[in-house]
Amino acid sequence: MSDSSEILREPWSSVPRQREGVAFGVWIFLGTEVLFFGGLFLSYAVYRTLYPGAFRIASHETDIVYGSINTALLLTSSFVMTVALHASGLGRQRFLVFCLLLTAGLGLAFLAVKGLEYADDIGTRLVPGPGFALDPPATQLFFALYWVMTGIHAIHLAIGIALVGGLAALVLRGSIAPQSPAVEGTSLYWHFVDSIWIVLFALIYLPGRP
Amino acid sequence: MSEHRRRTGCPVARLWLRYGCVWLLLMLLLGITITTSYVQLGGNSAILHLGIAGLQVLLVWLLFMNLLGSSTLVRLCSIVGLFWLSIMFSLTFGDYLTRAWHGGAIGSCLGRASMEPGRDENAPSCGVQ
Amino acid sequence: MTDAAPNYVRTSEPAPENYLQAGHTLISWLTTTDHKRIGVLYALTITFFFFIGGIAIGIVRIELLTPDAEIVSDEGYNRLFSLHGIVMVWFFLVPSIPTTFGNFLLPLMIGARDVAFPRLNLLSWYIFVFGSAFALYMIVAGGVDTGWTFYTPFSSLYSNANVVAAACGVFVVGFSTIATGVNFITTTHMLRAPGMTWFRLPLFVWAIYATSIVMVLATPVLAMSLLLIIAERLFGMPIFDPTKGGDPLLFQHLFWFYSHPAVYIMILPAMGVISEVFACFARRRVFGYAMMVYAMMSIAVIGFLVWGHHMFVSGQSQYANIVFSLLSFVVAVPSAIKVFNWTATMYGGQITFEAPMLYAMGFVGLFTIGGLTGLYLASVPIDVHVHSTYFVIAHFHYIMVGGSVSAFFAGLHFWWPKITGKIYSEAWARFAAITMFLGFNTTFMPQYIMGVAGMPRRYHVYPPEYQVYHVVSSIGALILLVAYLLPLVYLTWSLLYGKQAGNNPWGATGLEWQTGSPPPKDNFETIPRVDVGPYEYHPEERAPQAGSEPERMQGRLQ
Repeated sequence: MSDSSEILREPWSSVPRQREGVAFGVWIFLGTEVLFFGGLFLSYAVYRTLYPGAFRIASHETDIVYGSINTALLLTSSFVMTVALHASGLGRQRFLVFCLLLTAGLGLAFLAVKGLEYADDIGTRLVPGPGFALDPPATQLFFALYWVMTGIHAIHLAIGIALVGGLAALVLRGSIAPQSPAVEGTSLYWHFVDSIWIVLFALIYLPGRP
Repeated sequence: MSEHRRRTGCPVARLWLRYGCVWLLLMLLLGITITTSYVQLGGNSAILHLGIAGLQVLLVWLLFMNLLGSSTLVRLCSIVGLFWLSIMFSLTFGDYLTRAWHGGAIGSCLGRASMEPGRDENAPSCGVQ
Repeated sequence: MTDAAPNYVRTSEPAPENYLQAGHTLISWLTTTDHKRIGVLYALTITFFFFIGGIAIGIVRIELLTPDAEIVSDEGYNRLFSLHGIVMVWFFLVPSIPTTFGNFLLPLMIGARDVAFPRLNLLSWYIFVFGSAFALYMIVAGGVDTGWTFYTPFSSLYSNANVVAAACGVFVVGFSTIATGVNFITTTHMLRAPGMTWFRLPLFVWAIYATSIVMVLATPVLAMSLLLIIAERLFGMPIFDPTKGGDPLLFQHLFWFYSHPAVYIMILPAMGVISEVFACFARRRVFGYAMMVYAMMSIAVIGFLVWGHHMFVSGQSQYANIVFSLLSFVVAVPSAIKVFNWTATMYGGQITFEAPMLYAMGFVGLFTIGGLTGLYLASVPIDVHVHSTYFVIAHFHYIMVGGSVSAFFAGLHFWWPKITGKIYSEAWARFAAITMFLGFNTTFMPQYIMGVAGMPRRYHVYPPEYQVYHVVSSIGALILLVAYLLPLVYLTWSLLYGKQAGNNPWGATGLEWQTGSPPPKDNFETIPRVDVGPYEYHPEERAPQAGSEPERMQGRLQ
């Protein structure tokens, strides 16, 4: 059973209330992230509406193999993270650590694949600037948004990996209990970063295929 | 704790099974969205792919993030951001989509020919009426 | 109202040490998770930036005494007014009331021991300090010349100033705001004392709650708009570049989607303070409590629908102009309701004119004038004439300075005894309040007139016919300087030599007045139970009597 005394923090009066508070607080934060990425989505939507042809040409140049692998990796990581959260609820310390490390590992795999993709993109001159490979100027808008959107997503993912890894370390060392609300908070953040990627995949890789 | 386990079977295996089904569904949707992206659908492709993405996000939010089992307050909180995003989108597009109406000159020169591949005849009229 | 007020801390044991005594080292302050200490830390930070922003505009007002360029170059002038705007908006006004009084009072007013996430609270201050470092670097390196509005493509492609540093500073400070907002919303929902229902909350709590909602929904969009400028400028990513098909107006949509709600972030907490002060010094319940709540929430929501009124002449569609204009008229209605209700609160009250009340009364008048001129600006034909003139400057200074800053000083004087346990000199405080009111009007009323007469904003070289207005305005600024410096002197004096304040020197009804001045570290000996509303100054259906004690205090007496 959970050792309530080591989970309960000031100023909460009970652990269930504290859990509810953490979940609520994290969801408010995720709401802010929706609006943060929303600014990017708006920019994309505006320019795709104005330059549909250019966006199709540009999107065709993205590598759907890398994109699909990455999407599969993140979806799997979300699956594992959910199992981790339930392991936390059951108080299974070692199993929780295993799941957290697996999640972080899948996240690292995503970043590795992304790195390879970035290297490829630079090689095929898909970085906006004087040497840009494609023709109508608005394709540079697509790729500017590509670099910014995937870059910011990658930063969020890296933060997530650090959080998950750090959590695993703390749980393994016994510094925090497996049932700590921190696991739920981290899990919500991780799933959110995955959700953002799901949308990015549809925006970046799928148009312009035929 | 162990009494619970005797009654209901290994809880860990059930976890893998239950959420594995969700994962399978997500991967299936991924497969559908990738294969249909190669089909020529014209303007509907955006709706289809974003719709499938939306479905995947819904599965993640309702089942992985447990919105189905959360309080009303948390559920309300989860959609507030999306609602505000819709405000941002609708009023901003209210500007972009109406700029060229009725021969409006200002700003209607966006999307002109040099930004689109080889389509001079589609350029909206620039300049004062 | 002073020594006659009963002391509600009933102890025969020695009084618990107050929050100021719990740890005297610098480290104890820098590692505190006590919301009261964090409020004090924020107060020091924003006061510092208030004077930085003030010095910048002081130089501007000296330069504007003459029609020609006397003491600064064009480039230097651009950097000075940009500095003033950036520092005053993001490093003073946005944090001001929420992070100081909000932090200090929110848990006290709802009967909690701290905010929901105390360590996040401390982190938010450190994030603020980190952002401040960028801002200070930016200032020392010569500032930016884009104005506080960072319009593209100038900011992202052509400016030669420290745009990235400035954008980074504001970006970082935005996260401090978001963290504070998350904390306050969770606290208000989940940590209210038993019996403290939503409609028994003081209006200040509602104001902070509404502000926090706006903070968390608006600030991320600002963060993204600045990030896109940084991406374009630093990494060469074309987003707003017209030569690639980019639309500079996209930046304006993103920027103003935040920056209009931001002005409600700056005024809603002020409205909360004013409600508290009016109730106390008129000895009256706030008139129309429920409507005051609905008005604040409406302002928070409708405030997100009006941003295009900053873009009437930018090239935005005429149809969008019509929609935004209409919505801008709508958003004025809840503010007007609040002004009527404050006025009605005073009717039948027993009004006394302590310094907080003087500031509050000044607020109502100045806010009303500022608000009415906002309606002028919401009308597209008028805006076409006065856009980018001193009329706009006067409008928003009447609200931001005449409104928010007056309210800040009202709150400062009202809660000073609670925060520090000391009484300040009432005579000097009243003098400062009146001086501020007179100085403010002298500074900004001429700006309305010269704005309509055609004086553009952000120009330091101007035709000689405007000089008389500029001279009057600059004299007013000097008077304002005196009014702002005076509190520094007499409040500091009170810290050293002031009389000890009792728990409740004003005889006010809120929960914060039921505990010690300064409060103990854990706020309350026992968490209070609440069974009445927040403003039970007089029995229902009967007007307050002069010099009477409140009918019922919030929170039981045991």
